[in-house]
Amino acid sequence: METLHSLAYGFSIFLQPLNLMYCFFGVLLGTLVGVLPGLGPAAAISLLLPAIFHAPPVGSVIMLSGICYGAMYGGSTTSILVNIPGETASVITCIDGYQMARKGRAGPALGIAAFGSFIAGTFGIIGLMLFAPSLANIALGFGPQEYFSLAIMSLTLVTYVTRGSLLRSLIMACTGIIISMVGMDPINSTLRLTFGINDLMDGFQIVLVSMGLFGMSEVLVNLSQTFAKRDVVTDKIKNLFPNAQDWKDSAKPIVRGSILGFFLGILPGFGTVLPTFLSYALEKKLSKHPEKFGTGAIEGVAGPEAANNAASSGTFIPLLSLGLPTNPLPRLFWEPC
Amino acid sequence: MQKIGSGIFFLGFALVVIWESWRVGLGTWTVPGSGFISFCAGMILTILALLLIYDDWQRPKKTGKMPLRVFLALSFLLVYSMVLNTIGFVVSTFFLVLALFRLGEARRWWVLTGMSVIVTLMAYLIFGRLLQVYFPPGVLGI
Repeated sequence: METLHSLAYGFSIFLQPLNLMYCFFGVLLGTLVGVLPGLGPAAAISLLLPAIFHAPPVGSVIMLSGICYGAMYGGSTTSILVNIPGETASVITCIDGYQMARKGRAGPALGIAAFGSFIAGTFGIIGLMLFAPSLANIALGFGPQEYFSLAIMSLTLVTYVTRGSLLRSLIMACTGIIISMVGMDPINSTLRLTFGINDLMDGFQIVLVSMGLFGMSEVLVNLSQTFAKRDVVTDKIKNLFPNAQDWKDSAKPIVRGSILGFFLGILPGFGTVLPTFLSYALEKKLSKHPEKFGTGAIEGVAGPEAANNAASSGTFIPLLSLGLPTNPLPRLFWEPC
Repeated sequence: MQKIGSGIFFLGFALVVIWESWRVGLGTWTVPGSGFISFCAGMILTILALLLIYDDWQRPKKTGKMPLRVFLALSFLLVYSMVLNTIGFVVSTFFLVLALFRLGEARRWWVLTGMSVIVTLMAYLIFGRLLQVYFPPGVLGI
């Protein structure tokens, strides 16, 4: 009964015209930010923090939340149309989303990304409302053994989702671990693998690495092709509403992605990127046609997009329940909250 | 010529990582040092690189040459990163965009110059002025 009272009170505040306006502008800004490659929700919130200091607290939190959720969806647009992830949580969407666009199915890809994000975001909010206190206690119980096991599982999944040579996949996984070690050791404050370069003291930023790997590689691939061979997506975007078959193929991935993203988002340090990889691997494993992944399978878009939106709700549980920001994005919410 | 260049590259990279990790300190099994994880990753990468060299030696593959335009684009980016702080964002970005547009498509010079000016101006206005991102001022002081 207390939950219903709180819910009714929340709606009475949210449905005020001023707060609805803050929500609209927040989602609009977040979507635009998500579309821009290299500028993620954390950077957008950091840049907009001075502006919201003059706004009422409730409106500020609503606007920041809108930016967060809008960015989670907006990143899929450039992933699907240009094969450049708008932000790190949309990296995995490039794999099948862009292939769908190349086949003339950019509309259904964008549509299912939008609907999947909406459904997962709604699920995440309901889950946040109902399960916040109890789930936060479970998350606090995760220790080093559990985190190590999850890290090993994640690295194993990285080699599973890639196609081609397993040996090269393992080499890339090792290289990624080494690159992530560059910078200052958080425990001993020792500089490692910086070789005296001051710019490497903070390590390699994930946003910059994603931009270089995806953005620049796309530019270089286009440069390497002659005009006759260049494969540019020029089809008109149509059929934004997915058809019945698309819904049939995407329904279960969206549900699974929502549940997976929400519960993983609660865990400190996971953020919104890892759930998308796990969701993709799960859908590929459960699919009756795993060979279609990487060639334009709509499940490869629906699941990860649902996972990243649900995870963005899950990341707020430790913050709102215990006042503990466990990921960079909730950390930025800590000040207005 | 058999393609073992990538294997040799990763082998060299792994050896450098191992050396640097050893220098930083490995610690003990119960109290690992800063270089412990990177040392282990370097060791695993060494083994994988040797396997890759062996695999490429046994099964030689045809290799294509890197297109000249890709090589030039990478060179331009390298020069851009080196001169950015000295010359400034506006000037260096203008020349980089001009060079990349020229590599992409052959158009009239005034079209390329105009497009480069527009792109540089938009980037400066959106990120430098609107979002207050810091850019090195360089020779123009903006």
